[in-house]
Amino acid sequence: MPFIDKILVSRSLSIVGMEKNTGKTECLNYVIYRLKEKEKIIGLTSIGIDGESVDQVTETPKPEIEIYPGTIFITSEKHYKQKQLTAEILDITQKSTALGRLITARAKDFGKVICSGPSQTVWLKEIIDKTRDMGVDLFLVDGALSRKSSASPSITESMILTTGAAVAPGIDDIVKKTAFLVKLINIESFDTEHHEILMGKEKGLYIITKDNELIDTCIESGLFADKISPEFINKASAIFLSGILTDRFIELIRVQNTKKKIVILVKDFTKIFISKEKYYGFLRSGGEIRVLLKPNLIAICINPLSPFGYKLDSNLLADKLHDEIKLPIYDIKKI
Amino acid sequence: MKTFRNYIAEHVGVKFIYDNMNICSAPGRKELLNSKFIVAPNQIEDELELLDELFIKYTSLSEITKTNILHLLSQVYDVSLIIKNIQSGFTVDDIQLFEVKKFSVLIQKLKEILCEINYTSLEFSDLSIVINILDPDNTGLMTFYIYDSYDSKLAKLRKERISTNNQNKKDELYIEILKLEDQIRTKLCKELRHYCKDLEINLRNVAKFDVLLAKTQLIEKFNLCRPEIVENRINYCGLFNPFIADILSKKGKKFQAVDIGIDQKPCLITGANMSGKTVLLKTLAVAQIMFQFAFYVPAQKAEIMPVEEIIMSLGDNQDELTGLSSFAAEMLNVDKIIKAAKKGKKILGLVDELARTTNPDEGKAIVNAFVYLMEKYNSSCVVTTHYSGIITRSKRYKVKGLKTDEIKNQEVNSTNINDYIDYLLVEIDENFVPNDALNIIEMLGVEKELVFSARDFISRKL
Repeated sequence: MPFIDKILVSRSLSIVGMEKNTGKTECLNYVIYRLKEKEKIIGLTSIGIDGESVDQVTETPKPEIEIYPGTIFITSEKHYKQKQLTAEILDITQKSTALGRLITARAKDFGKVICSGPSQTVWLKEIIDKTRDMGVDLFLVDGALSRKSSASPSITESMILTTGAAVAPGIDDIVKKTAFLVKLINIESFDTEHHEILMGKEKGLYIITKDNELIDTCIESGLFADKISPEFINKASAIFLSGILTDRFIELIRVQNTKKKIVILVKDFTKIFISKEKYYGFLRSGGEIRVLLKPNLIAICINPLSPFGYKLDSNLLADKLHDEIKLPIYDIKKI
Repeated sequence: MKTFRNYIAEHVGVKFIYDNMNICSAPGRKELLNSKFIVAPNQIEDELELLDELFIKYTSLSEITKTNILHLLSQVYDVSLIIKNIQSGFTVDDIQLFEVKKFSVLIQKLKEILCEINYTSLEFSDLSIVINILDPDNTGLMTFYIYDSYDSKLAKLRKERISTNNQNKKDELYIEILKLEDQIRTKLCKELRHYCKDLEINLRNVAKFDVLLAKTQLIEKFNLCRPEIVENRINYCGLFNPFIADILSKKGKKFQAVDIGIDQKPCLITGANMSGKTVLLKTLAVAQIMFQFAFYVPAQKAEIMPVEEIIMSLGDNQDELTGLSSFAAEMLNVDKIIKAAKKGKKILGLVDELARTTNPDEGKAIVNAFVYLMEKYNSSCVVTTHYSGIITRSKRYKVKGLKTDEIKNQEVNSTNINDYIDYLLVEIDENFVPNDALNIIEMLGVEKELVFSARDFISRKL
């Protein structure tokens, strides 16, 4: 069966949807179902609320997450009480989310759970690390409500992207939007000896000079980019942004730096919030965007069913996406 | 009676102490914040003795044992509400039962460590029966669910549910399982009810132990001393203010500790501007508060009497908010002190520059009258003043002030002037008011015309 073998080599996986109702949970259930055959102990949580029986935004029914004995899941107090299986409580956090403290439990039989995990990625990382000691082979993260942050390669090793009718009304638009995101996900990583130092930076704007020297510009973030002096830009072979990359920043660098080749460097694709137009505009001007960590995009899954009731031609969508992206595309309902 | 929480809100110095305390558990934090200002000397003595014992033990422990204890404490959750629920006959859920089990296991482990190091001052009662109730398989793990071994029927139903493929049958079985689990939970809670007292005692003790441990660590951190409890005086050798000492040490400077003795009489302090009189009063307040919450105190040596109330007038009340002028706010504080003194209450009054915001003639009279009343009612009250001509038979101190010898040929300005002030307190017999104000404002670099003109007025005796 497709892509399960690829999942098995990584130790953590996040499933991220381009929008709600792109079949994320379906996809997750498929992955869990397949992993069961492989007799792997899996860990499971989501970032933010997920796994509700009814979608919180569009009120359409949603499939629940079905797990098997041995699975370690992390959910809030509120949703733990709604579980439909026997489970052994292993740990309870002292910190609390809006839905109560987080409970780590081990499933004792088959059944359905609602996952509502930590609200921040840092906390999620802590939880993933902690479950390692409990014997988890593979940790699955259900990324909620178009949140891509959990797919950051600093949190999970690999990712699955789901897309579908919920993204845009027409197939061509869906393909365009998905292809652009995949383009960003697959941005090549940048080799630098300053890798470790830059990964540890929580804020600030740094410059790597042509002589490979790292300079702190003392500017807090890309929001204050207009304070950056042209002198710095002239010196730079790469500009590193610890925070997010926006249209405004990219435009500013493009205007300042007319002729030379320059690299804008961010931690990973989850930090990139730019439009397609600005992105290609920047590339044409000789610039380049690179990341420190590139995620391992395992598969793209599609859901041809729209939350508004209509259904697109699954094969056509898959083919068009494949032409554009050159990656295997799966309709979970069909495999 | 005020709690520690109240004092944190009122005094930056106390807040600083609190921020530097390594309280590990939620029950410990609750215990400290809700602890009451202790007035009874024997109660302070008892608490201090507990602290002495732990301090001696703690300093001899290996780093690993210290870390183990702190790690255990940091996992303790406040189970008071759960205990209360069980006690009053409620059936609690798995999450709460898990908390009770985890709590009991942690306490048992803590008990073992304390036994190993021979610490017996706080007695933890045995919770092995509670653990047995919640760990029927004897796994020794800190996990919980309604175990199969609680009821053979439960085990059977669960097995059946796993093996069947019919979804409807699965759902039916699940409902049956839930019902049975509920019955077992009720039974468990009934059994646990007999041990609620033990759980409560242990919760109280672990909270207390956490606070004591945090106090102990504070002793090492700030080099605090064990106060001696006396009846009628307050004496400090090398009194310092941890908060300000910390700020100074960050700038590479040192806090100059002082010696002071206060009887059940007023105590008058004079000194030039910037000579640390206000800091002294704040330090006295923080030390007294720490003492009455059974901490060691920031001094080399201390003899302290417990008081019933500490009343301060430092002129930094939020006057605008209460609609009072600074003078009115000050007088209302003074009124509190006098009323308490007249009632024969044992107080520590701390008054900074009494009546400074009114005209010098009446101001001086007010200070004289206040000092007279404090003498009359034998009240411990420290008053700082710039007024000359205060009549009292009680103790007077002056702050040594500007190091005039060192200042010669030095560039003194607003940034380094503090380096040229000697904060030492000297007991004096008669009224002495230094005339350093003009020298100081000159050093601060204030407009020279003001200084010249003021000196001119003085020389013309206007």
